[in-house]
Amino acid sequence: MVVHTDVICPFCGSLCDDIEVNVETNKIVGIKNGCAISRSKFMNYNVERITYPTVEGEKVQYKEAVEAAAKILVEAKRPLIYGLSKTENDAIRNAVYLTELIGGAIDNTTSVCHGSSILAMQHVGSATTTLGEVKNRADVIIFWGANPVEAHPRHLIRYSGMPKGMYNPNGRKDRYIVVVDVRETKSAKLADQFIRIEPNTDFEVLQALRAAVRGEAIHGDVIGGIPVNVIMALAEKMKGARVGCLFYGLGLNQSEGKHMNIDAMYSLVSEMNLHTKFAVNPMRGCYNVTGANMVTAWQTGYPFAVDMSRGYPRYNPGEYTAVDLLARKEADAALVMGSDPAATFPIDAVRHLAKIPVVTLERKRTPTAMLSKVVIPVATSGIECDGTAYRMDVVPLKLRKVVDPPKGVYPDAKVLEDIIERVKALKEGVE
Amino acid sequence: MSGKIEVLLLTGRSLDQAIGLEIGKASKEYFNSVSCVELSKADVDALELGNDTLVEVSTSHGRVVLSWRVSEGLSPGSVFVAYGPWVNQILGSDTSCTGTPQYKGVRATVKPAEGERVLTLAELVKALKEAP
Amino acid sequence: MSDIIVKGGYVYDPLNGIDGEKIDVFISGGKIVEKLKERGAKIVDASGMVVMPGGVDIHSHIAGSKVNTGRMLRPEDHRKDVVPRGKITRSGVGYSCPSTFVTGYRYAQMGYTSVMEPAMPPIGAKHVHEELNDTPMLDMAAFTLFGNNLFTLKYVKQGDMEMLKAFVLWLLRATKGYAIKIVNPGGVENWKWGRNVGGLDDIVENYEVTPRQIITSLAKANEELGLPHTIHLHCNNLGVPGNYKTTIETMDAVKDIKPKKGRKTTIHVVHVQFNALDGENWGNVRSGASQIAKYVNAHNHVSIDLGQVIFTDTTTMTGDGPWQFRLWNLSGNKWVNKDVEMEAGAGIVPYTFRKENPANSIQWAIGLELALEVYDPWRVYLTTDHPNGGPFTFYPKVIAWLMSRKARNETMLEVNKTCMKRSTLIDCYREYTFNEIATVTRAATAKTLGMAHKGHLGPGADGDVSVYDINPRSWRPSMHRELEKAFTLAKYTIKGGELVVRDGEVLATPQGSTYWVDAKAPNEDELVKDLEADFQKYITINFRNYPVDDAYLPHGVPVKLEVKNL
Repeated sequence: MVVHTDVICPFCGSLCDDIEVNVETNKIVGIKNGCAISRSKFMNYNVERITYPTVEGEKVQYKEAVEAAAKILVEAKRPLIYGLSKTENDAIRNAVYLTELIGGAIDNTTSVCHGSSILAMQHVGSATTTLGEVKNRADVIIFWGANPVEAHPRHLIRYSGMPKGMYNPNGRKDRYIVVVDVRETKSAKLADQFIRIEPNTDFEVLQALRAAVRGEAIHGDVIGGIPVNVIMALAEKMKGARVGCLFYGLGLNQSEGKHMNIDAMYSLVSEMNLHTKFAVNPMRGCYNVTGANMVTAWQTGYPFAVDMSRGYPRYNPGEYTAVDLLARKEADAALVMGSDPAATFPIDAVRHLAKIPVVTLERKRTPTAMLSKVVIPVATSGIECDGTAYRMDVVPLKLRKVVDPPKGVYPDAKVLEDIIERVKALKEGVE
Repeated sequence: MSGKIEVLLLTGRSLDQAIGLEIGKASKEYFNSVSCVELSKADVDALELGNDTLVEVSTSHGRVVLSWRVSEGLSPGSVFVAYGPWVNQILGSDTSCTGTPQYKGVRATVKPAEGERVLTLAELVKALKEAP
Repeated sequence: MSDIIVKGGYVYDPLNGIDGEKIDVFISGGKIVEKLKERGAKIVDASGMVVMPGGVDIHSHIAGSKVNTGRMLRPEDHRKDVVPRGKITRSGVGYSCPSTFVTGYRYAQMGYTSVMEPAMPPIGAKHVHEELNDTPMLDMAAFTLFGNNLFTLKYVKQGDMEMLKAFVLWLLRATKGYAIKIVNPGGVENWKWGRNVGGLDDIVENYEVTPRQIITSLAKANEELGLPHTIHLHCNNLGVPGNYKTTIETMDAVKDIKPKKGRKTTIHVVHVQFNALDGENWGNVRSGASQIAKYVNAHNHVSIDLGQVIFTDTTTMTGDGPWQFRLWNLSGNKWVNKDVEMEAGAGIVPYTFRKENPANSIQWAIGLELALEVYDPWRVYLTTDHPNGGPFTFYPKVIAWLMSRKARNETMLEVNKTCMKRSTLIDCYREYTFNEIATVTRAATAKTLGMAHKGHLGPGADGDVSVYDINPRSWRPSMHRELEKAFTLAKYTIKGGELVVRDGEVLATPQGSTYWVDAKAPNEDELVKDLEADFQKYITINFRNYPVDDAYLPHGVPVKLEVKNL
């Protein structure tokens, strides 16, 4: 049996890098240190796998599938390339290149998750920090609209709640943890203070908090279901922090107000820095959605919602974002990789996805694969092939390969390379 | 007489949903985790839901039939369904030019669903393929 | 790859004492050679033109987390300058936060062939190298941040030079870095608490060391180890009126350190313009450039680069967290802060340098004063601290200002008149020669970097050559517009013996090399035990996952060091 240590878990944005994976004859037989989700990923990586390429549901040779994929993309007028967050950086590089070749639009799962965070950052900036700084120095931690116990299970253990740090020698006891949420989640139960907020009122509450921090008067007794004196007490708690960190999740991005909620939050945290050290950190969901933003941004200038139809990158969330392109019935073909939009997008968008020719690079049977014209199986990044992924705080880590992929199943990066080769050949034939 | 209630629908990640999706979207574990709506005890009582009844959750975008269970952490008037293709049946694709649809705080109606059953993933996909 | 003969140009090769002579340059096998037969060689006709070694930019922020955050922050900057894809070139965006492909193309189009990324946070080193890998046509290196690193502070506090030296070599190897970079030493660590340092002898909290101690310890380590470049230092008190005093004190602090054999300098101070302010506040700020130039002239252990201001909308981005916070307060522009894992920090604030703004006009004058009042062109280099002072694509404008008093005066008449009263620029009559320009943009920078194969055209040098369409014999300083035009788009750029740009058109996009220092101290095992123990406690990634493995540098060139008995 081979024991692999320091393995990086390819599930959520926590990107825990202390997983121990036991492998026997090219099969994972056990893991240590991972959370329940990590365990599910590692122990079930080979369950429900797609093991051969298909076109229109019929099994075909790899080369045929690649050819069919290339043809779909070359013939499309408005192709969309989407996903990119459950894969590694070399694959994402290839996806950007492919988009440029076909003059399509490229978007990643950010657009339905933390896209609003980026919009807010583009308006007002943001004061952030890496997780090690939080572990070592922060004594006030706030989770707002985030439920780490269920979505980032080891976050509190490794970074924000329990661990001893250089200036937090007593671990949990050195920290005051607040959870602000619309329901009392498992995370709320672990907190020192739970503040229940009414859905869709984050913007008002955050602005009230800003006013309290500035020492301005707040009108009314209750805002967002929260008594004003609780808001004022929270402001004092924050100002009294030695170092504070506000972690937030999709409760802000996906409720009414969207990026304005985060605009208010980022403004609050920046202003906090006039009183004490404070940072804000988005709880990124997928293990490499941050990498998708990074690669797309350094190659095109923009982190998501990029259009290449004029031969140069253009950026416009709302116009080039995947849900909009599909709901408006504008995209006439798609390539999906590292995501399952048929399981995550609202019904109108998915209905259109079901109508257009879709190429899916996917490991397991998913609704998107079931709808796709061409399905090409791919290796599991971080288990069956290596590559780079970026943690939620933009720390890069090198994913490992601990087992070989099934026969005839290749990494995303290679499949895209092969599609690119065929796309170039087809275009040269046309020109 | 059991009626209906107006609620705010929350969708989001759950531990079971994450574990389930890593087994596979066609797995029983995934199905159980995302085709179920969580309600507060008060709302369950208001709807007079029996253990074997299913519920219908509807919005201006559509309707979906789900199983149900109680969640202590929810306030009356809020319900929770884990992210997935079931709840997506009733979510709208208007992103207000941000790219992000509204997944939380959506106005919805919940009522008991008589003589219905929860559709399977295959049935959902079939309906998508056959839609006009 | 065919041989190339650059024929009939006026060659400026300061390292080999060639000052505008009409000679041919021979390139074969990617290197400059003594002589070649014409048959079988590609002839590049440089008659009537200036020929120089390819440009070597010693300090330009082109890759890594803060650069990319700058890109993400500024879609409005990108829209000004879109770059469509070409036959062999990728699309992208330019201006102050260019995308990686465009960075490579634009530098090459200007005749530059080597660029140094000056601030690499160790935990983000993989990110820097990933971006360098997508930056074509340039040889590059990245400088590792040391000045606020928890291990640096620990060993400086303990006074343990042996462990500090071992750590320097280990961290350079782990990050595949080339030099020691220091940014606001001690200040960025204090910023983790929301505070800063105000001078060389302030205390770094919890460590009870001073910036002076950090600087001198690292400088000493640098010279004793014989690293190819000196320490590369961004002073304390950047942007604070009156800070010229800190800058001189800083230079003076390392005056008595013995430089490694073969060089005289022990410190390179970066973008000095931002640290050359006299006065008490932004209301009465004036130029402190003359005082600094006086010091630099009298002390040959110092080299500096300008950080020249350009009047445009640009993006400031440095590792100086507290300074960027201050700039947010001063300007009200959007602000990004990024504290990095017990080792560094960063901040980004868009900023527009305005001609009407009295402070900006003085800052503009300061950069040029420094260049004109420091006599030794081997110790003062042309930079804009891209993109802090302005985008690198404005270098030709700076060249014009240096070579033509008329160009300077024209601008001076457009800007706020305080610069005439509060700086000495109006009295600077000096005009740079082509030889001096070649020195401050290639020869001297390559020499200071310790890159013996760069910045010159002697046999054995890398085949990096640029040809500019300007005739030095007939050019006069009054013709500054023609000069600027000539340096904006090189007539020919040759990189590693391959013609890559002609008349501004990119002909080939070879990937360049990434240089890094590869050495190990004899006591490294002892160091590693210490590091591993602290990693477990304080860092949130495992020790084994921290270093950059070779796969990240497909074109890596390790620079081996002989580490004598420490």
